[in-house]
Amino acid sequence: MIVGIDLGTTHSLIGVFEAGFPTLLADAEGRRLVPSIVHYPRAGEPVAGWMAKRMRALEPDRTITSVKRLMGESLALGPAFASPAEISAVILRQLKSQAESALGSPVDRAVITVPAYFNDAQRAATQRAGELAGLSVERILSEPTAAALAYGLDRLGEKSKIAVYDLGGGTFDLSVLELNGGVFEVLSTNGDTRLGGDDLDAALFDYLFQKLACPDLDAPSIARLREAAEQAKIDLSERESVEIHLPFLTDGQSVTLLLSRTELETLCRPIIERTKGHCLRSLHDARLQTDELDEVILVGGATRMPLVRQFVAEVFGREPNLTQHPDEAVALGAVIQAGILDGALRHVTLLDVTPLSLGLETFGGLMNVLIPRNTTIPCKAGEMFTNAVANQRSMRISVMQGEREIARDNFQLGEFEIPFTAAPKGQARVGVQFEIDANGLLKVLARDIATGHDKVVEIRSAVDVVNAEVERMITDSVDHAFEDMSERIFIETKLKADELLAAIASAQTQIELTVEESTQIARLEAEVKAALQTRETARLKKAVNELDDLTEPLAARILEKLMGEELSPE
Amino acid sequence: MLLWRELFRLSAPLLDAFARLGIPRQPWVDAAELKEKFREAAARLHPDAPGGDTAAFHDLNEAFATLRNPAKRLRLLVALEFPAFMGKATFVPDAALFSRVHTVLEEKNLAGIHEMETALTRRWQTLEAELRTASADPQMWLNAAAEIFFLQKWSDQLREKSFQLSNR
Repeated sequence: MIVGIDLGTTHSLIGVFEAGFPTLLADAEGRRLVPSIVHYPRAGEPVAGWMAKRMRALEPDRTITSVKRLMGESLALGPAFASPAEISAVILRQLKSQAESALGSPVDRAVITVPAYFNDAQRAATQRAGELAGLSVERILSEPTAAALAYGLDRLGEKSKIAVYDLGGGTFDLSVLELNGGVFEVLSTNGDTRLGGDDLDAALFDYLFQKLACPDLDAPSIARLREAAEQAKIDLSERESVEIHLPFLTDGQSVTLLLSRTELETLCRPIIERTKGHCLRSLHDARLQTDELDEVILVGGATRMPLVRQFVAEVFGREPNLTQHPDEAVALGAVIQAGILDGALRHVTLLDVTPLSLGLETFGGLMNVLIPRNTTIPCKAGEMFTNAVANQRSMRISVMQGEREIARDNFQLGEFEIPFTAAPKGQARVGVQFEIDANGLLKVLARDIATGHDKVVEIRSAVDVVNAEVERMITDSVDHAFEDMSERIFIETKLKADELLAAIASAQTQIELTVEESTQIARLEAEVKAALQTRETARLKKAVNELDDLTEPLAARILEKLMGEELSPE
Repeated sequence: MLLWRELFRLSAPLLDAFARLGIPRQPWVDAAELKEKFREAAARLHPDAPGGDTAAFHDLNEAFATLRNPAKRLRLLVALEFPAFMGKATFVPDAALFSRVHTVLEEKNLAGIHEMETALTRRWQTLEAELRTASADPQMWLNAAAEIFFLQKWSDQLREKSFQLSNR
């Protein structure tokens, strides 16, 4: 049996597909929602859920909330210096044991949801969290897609186009889907993995904190104010105004604050408005107008706010569909996907997409897109790499995810090295295949053209690689480098210069340069080399930047040429 | 660090996208029919489906992407129907049109962009009508593919610019 899990920013849920229906499982007290909060006690194992939530008020500095927002980052958090994946694993273990108690049998396979806009690193970290919790992760599923499954399960015969507006505790997604004959096809998705109800709470907290005019609150009092703000936000979805009572908050003084819905909405409006661009972009990518949609489905706790509903109605020109449970729809969808995977549910197919374009950094630092965003997954794309100079032994390839034209503005997934056999220029060839699986996770395969053997390529985290390289060069070259910032800058600039010079050398074999271009390049190259000789950081930096700027149009020209070449029959 | 793109062909045999999707081998395609065939096949071949297969799904995805893109579709058609044909596209984009598109993009004027989009669409429709009536001719197909490639690229750029301008 496979369980479905919604691992949320503020709350999580777990369920199973039973007797033809998705069912969410409750704890002994009948609660289905589990707070996504982890507490590290001074002694003993970390705890998650309601117990951790109680401890937050007492020991806020030993309690971690909203860890999902840090997923994929290499950080050590909290008193245990744990990674976001390790902390999330504590929540998943709690859910697992809750399910095992409810079912009376062990649970070891799961579908876990993530925001649609999560990148490869964030998805991989979620998968890792599942493994750490003793779960075999059968699928990483996008949240709005899961919600669409929940919406569409009893409408399998219908044909419709829907948008799912998912504003959760910490993340926002807008996905457009086409439902037809049991096939759920995602047409486009867009979002922000750092935008959600948490931001509304934080804005309200800041506002109340200012109103309180009492800057030296202790940590437990701040935690109480934070909780009171959250509760006030929730209550204001039903009422026009609330009184916030905080007995014995400061020096034994009780405090009462008045807050109106209008005040809350003034605070929240700018945050909610940030969702608009993502909605429009997703529709644009799906090549749809708002009036071509049959429904706009709201999910996520923050969509309970009247302001959000009103805002969605403004953007889409229609009243949103409120039939789905804001907290539970995503979890139900995860359970439905679990039902599909273990064969309990037939004739339902999910065609999801990759949310971000996948590309390589190419000459001039431009992004060369291999798999555009919103491509149906699983998918693959290939690229052939050839040695640029005779006897070149390897080439370093940088893999990026994102939509910006300049490669370094995107998220760098990592780098890998392609080995070449010694051969004349253009003779050594290695084919590299990039596959994105149904989880949205990237796998890279290198095929030796001579032998036809595939090998999985390991992608190293880019940050680590660069830092290691810089550290090594510093140790190689000077003794007291660590104190010497300018030396560090010099070395980093030198690395960039080396890379640029090599790239330009190979570019010159690719396209014709005008005499003027050649002269300018030669002049700047000489300048770069001279600055390297004399070790003048400022001079080097200036020359490298000028050379970079000068050769940028070359990169564009090469891309144009390559696009043209694609047209000619091979 | 330079890489340059070649058509990447790990699996030597040419993928017959028309056969894969059950679409007649011709230069034009009924978009609704193509979509429907893809949906049917995808439900069958998706790795989650009983009897589904990742490699087959990859091929299906690629076949769909090829047929959806008129330039790629025409090039594939030439390769399949005229395997011995060695000619190359001789189409060169009209320099005046090229610079007009770029001027319109620079001007950031919505009306101008829409006018240009309409002009490109009209050209594309004329081209398609010619393809429908002409007899099978690999040289004509390749030239049409080259022209469509530019029409498509410019249309996409104009569409993107118009999106950015109207949602600032």
